[in-house]
Amino acid sequence: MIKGEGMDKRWEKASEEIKGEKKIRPSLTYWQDAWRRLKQNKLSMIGLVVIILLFITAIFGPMVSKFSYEDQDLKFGNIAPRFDIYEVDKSNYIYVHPEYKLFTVTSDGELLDSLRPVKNDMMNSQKIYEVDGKRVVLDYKNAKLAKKNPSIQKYKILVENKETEVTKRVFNKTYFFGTDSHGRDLFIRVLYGARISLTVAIVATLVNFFIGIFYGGISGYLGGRVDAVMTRIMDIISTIPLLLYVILLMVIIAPGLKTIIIAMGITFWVRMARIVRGQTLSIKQHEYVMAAKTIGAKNFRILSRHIIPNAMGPIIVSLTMMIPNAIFTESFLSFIGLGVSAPQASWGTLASDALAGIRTYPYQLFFPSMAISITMLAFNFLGDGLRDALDPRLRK
Amino acid sequence: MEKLIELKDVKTSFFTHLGEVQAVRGVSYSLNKGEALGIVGESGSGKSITSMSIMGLLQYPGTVKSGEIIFKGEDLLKKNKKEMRSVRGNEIAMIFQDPMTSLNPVYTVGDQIMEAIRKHQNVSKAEALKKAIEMLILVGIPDPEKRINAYPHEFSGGMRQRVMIAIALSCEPDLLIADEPSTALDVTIQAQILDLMKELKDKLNTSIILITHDLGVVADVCSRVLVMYGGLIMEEGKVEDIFYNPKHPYTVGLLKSIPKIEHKERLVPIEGTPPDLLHPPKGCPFAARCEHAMNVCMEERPEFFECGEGHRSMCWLLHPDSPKTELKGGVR
Amino acid sequence: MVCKAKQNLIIGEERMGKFIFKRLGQMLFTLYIVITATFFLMHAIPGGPFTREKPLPPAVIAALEAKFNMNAPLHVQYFDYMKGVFSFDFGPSFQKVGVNVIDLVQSGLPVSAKLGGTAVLVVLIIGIPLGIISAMKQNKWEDYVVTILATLGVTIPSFVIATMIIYVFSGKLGILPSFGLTSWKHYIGPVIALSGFSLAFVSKLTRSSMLEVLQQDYIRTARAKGLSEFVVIGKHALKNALLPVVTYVGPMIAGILTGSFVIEKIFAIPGMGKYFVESVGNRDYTVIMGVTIFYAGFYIIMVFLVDIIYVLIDPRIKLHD
Repeated sequence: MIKGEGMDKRWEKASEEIKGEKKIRPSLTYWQDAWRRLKQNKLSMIGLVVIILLFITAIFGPMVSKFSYEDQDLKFGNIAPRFDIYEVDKSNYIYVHPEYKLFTVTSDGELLDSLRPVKNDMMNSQKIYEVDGKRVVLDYKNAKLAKKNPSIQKYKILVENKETEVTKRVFNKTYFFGTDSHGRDLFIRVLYGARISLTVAIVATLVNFFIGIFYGGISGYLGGRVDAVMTRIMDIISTIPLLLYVILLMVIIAPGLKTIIIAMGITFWVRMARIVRGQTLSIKQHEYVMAAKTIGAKNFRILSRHIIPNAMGPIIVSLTMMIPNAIFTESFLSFIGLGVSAPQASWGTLASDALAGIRTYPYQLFFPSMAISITMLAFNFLGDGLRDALDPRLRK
Repeated sequence: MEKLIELKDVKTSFFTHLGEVQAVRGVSYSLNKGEALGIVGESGSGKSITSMSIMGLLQYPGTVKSGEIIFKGEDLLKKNKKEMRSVRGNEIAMIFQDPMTSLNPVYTVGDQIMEAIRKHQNVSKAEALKKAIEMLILVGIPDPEKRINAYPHEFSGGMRQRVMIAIALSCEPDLLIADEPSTALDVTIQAQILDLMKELKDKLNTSIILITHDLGVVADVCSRVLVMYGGLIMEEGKVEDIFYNPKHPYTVGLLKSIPKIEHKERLVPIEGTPPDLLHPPKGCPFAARCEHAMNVCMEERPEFFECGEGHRSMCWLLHPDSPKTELKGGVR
Repeated sequence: MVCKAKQNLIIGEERMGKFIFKRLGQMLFTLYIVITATFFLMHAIPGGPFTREKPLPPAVIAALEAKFNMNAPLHVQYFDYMKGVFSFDFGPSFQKVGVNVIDLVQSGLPVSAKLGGTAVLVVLIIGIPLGIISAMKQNKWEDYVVTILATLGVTIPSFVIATMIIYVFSGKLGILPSFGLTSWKHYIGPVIALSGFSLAFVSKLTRSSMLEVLQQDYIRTARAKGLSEFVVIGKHALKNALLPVVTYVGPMIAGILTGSFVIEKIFAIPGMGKYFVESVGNRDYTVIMGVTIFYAGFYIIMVFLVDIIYVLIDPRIKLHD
């Protein structure tokens, strides 16, 4: 249409560029979309970061620490990560242990040495020490009364016969998390426990992963009678409470790290196998599998190139959730006494050891518990996020 | 002919965390008693949301922003929840697209029909049962006394849709809204369901709003048609006018994309994708895909232009100042 | 009309009967495998159950030899054991002289049952409503609170929760007792710790199940009929949403069962769990075997019952295969 001058521009045909802007929207592949969605999930990202940090500290922490997990120093047993110190004079400070022992410390909180009393005066409920020439007395007359009435102080400190108050509260610079009853550094033991928990978790999960994929993939792919029999076996195994059998196995084969992994490997693969089987069954029906078959692709190739990659979504989620499960099982077993043996430290054994002194030394329980909780939370957040991100129905 | 329901400039939006998705952007039409109106459009055109707005079935975060829906003299949008509940299922009923999932799998079919009856009518259980069986007979379910105790999964797709119709009509509503009732069914079953609907419309004098993307279905059942796109009505008119003398490029495009046995021409799809309702275009929503688009179309939303009795189209091409364009379309 | 309906009912009952029978058979078969497996596992201990650091008191050895006929060939021992199991005789304890396994079970069982039973009730009575509320108020503060608590409950191990409870409520605040199970106050700590995980899981499960159900088309149909929201949720949504929860009851019981080991130990509750853990530590093999079989049997029966209930609720399950 040719228009003359003076004609209203409105009636001219709109150019393709103007129209083109409005037309199309880009699309992403499955994995790109999933990663984008995962990144948006703040909790999952926090979980991921925590897990990475955990790995780093577990691997490198023990290398740079001055203590090893089994180094004992009995005189430094049961010292808290934070304590009160008394000033004797400008260069000498002391710390009073709940078991009525005295230690010299620096003003920062570094432990120097334990003090032997010069005289142990039980008649007067006093312990007399000498610190750098000064006479320090620990008076525990009120100990029994204090038990009934918590507002009364259990003991008094007298420096040169003058009653002294607490100077300040410091963090334990020698042992960051304090020590256990054997004088072992709790911090390093918790890190070491991380190593154990992570090792168990990963190895057990990998074992279950391979067994599960193998079993489930074959069962689902072959179908028919083979599938029926294999599924029946899985059903029977899952009707039995697995933890019981893990416990039984632990009793028979001596408890220890290897046994835990074997026991978990024998029992936990069923869940993964079920998922893989389910996925295989549904993917088997898809056209591209038929297409591959018509080309003459061998079964193994079909399984590995078509079916498994497409089933990866639920498999990955399942893996991520298996890890906290494994950590929990290991802690649980260690807690009831079937885990690693002393002096090795798993979070479960640490928690179990801490039970006895829970009233006086609650920190011994606090740190391993926090470690377990934070780790499991991190994996759970990540797992939840992965599940949402990999769910094709939520694609936008 | 009296107006049964009239929509006046209804605007419905979904206030999501991404922003306001304007699903329906100003729709006005009316339906007379005993009429069958077809609403045609692509997914996202707003045809279903308009009906959900009538029924008051919009879920959070959707809400009717403005407008009126006058039904039997009253504005439905002014009714409270309780009042709407006595209208739904009773005076206005709705059936949905996928019969396979529209029935609750854990209750019997009879239970689900009787539920509707007992909610709106003050009858005893035995009377409700009797009525439910009658409905099954009406929609053509064989062996109704036995099937009344059957569960949905024991019925085929076509049968389930019949049950849905039975539920919808059990209280003899004045208006039946059918949202793509036959889309999910086989072609032969589709024909059966549509015939059933026509038959029931005549028998019970129910008015029907039939929503679909399939023009063939519309031609079969309806006397008037609305063509919707991008949350707005593009064209409205009698079935004959729309089919033989379409006055909107979108309608023409739709008609062109119907496969026909006689003509061995290629199917001509409409290029492009529907507009983003989060940021709706300020001009005509179809402009980006329209081969006749002019600059004014991109800038300003057109008004409705009359092109015959009861026939109107929202297109700048019908403006007296616009270049004369012959819309080559329509069924022959 | 009535005759046909009655006919349907009779056929339905027959099918159900056959189904129950079949499941019962499967259950007994599994039980049999469990007992056999346990037996052989115990006998697989290298060096035999008698070679340990501390020699057993002669009285015990005598009782064991009499009971188990240790020198007889394996299959004879096996049959003897089987016979014993079916008459609830698991033999004498290795460690506690003069005490039979069944005595321990009898004294510990009521205690554990009370604790476990309470935990199960708490999970169902509190967990399910919490999940429903959470789903109804999705993304509002109620949902937020429940979801956070549920996440904590699912991730923090029960023994951590238990020890925290003891530390805070018994140690610092002194309002709860920390051992035994004699008053109603004694129940609070153990029940919370024991039910924690399952409670959290059930409420999460109910929530997500409910959310999924609420998206379904049949909920839209129910609303389109003009039914009140109460009926839509309470009748149409609920029954469907609870189906996955019923399936979870089996694993839940397993969890509470194994959880009891740790909880009873921590709270010094004289139940079967505590005896089991002690026997594991002492390598008291007869007790270990007997209690394992007992637990396994109990669990298998529960799963069987849950299966039956599930079939009763969901009409889509075909009973005839």
